[in-house]
Amino acid sequence: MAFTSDLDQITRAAAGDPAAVAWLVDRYSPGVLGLATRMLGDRMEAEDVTQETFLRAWKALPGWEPRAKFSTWLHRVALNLCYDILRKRREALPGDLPEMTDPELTPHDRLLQAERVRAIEDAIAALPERQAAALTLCALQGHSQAEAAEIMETSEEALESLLARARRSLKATLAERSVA
Amino acid sequence: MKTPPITDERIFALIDAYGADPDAFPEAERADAKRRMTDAPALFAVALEDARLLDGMLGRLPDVTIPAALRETLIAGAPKAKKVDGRNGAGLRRFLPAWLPAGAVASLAMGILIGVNVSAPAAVATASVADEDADAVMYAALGFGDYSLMNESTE
Repeated sequence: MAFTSDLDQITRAAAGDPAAVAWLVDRYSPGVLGLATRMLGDRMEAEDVTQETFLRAWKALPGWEPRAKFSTWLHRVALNLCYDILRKRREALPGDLPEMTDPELTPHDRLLQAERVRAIEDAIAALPERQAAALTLCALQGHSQAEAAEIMETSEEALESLLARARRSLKATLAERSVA
Repeated sequence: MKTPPITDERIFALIDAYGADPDAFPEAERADAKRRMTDAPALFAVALEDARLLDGMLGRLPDVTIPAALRETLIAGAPKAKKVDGRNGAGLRRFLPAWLPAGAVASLAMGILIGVNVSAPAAVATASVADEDADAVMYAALGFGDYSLMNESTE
């Protein structure tokens, strides 16, 4: 059972067991980085968020109380860090959408498929932040409704509404950009 | 007439929110929704096709992998096990107060000082024991009477 296994690994990681630390990083960092990448549309910022999330996790480990799943706690911390960054962006550039262009495009990125992927990622990152979070957690990362609602500290009904609006906005945006 | 356990409107709402795959629907409604969608496929065909288009686009997004450098950084920030060196007693020493070595040196110095002060007058007294006059004074002071008489009686 993942919850019990998490607790065991957390206890060992708090005592400095390198294998347990590696286990937690390998198990949860892709999800955290994925969430931050989709939310922010910027890989470097997403990596910063991932680092900060895990630093907070390491600090929290010695006194960890299993009131929530470790995964839920991690994603919630990452999500709140993303919200902070998005808020600062809005304050810096009121009314502007974040710039999503990568100055170091490789030839591979220029392929049609990569452009489509980029367009979808940009469209997700351009969604209102709570819609982007709901869509990323449920549609891209496979969290259950209950887990996603817990991470976002909202009800399952509100989550469903966010998901529906996110999908409608995304469809409209991608249709405008002729991404199909 | 049996009442359907889930309404068609609710199924449209589920497709709208969760996409075309009923396995992504909330667990409590999943089985009923699947049954109804199987019973009336034409009713939901357009909504499902529309949803599949977006599902397909979302499915194109690659999984995010952690770069090795980031993984190392994350691991490096984790708590480290405290090293215990048993060879030089560091493991036990951490339980003793930090002032202990200074206290031991002070105790030793005090012991030497007291020892010197106590033993020095005794040596002086021993040297003067040879002096019979001094012995006589001392015996007189102690109430033993005339020291010369005492010596005579013993001879």
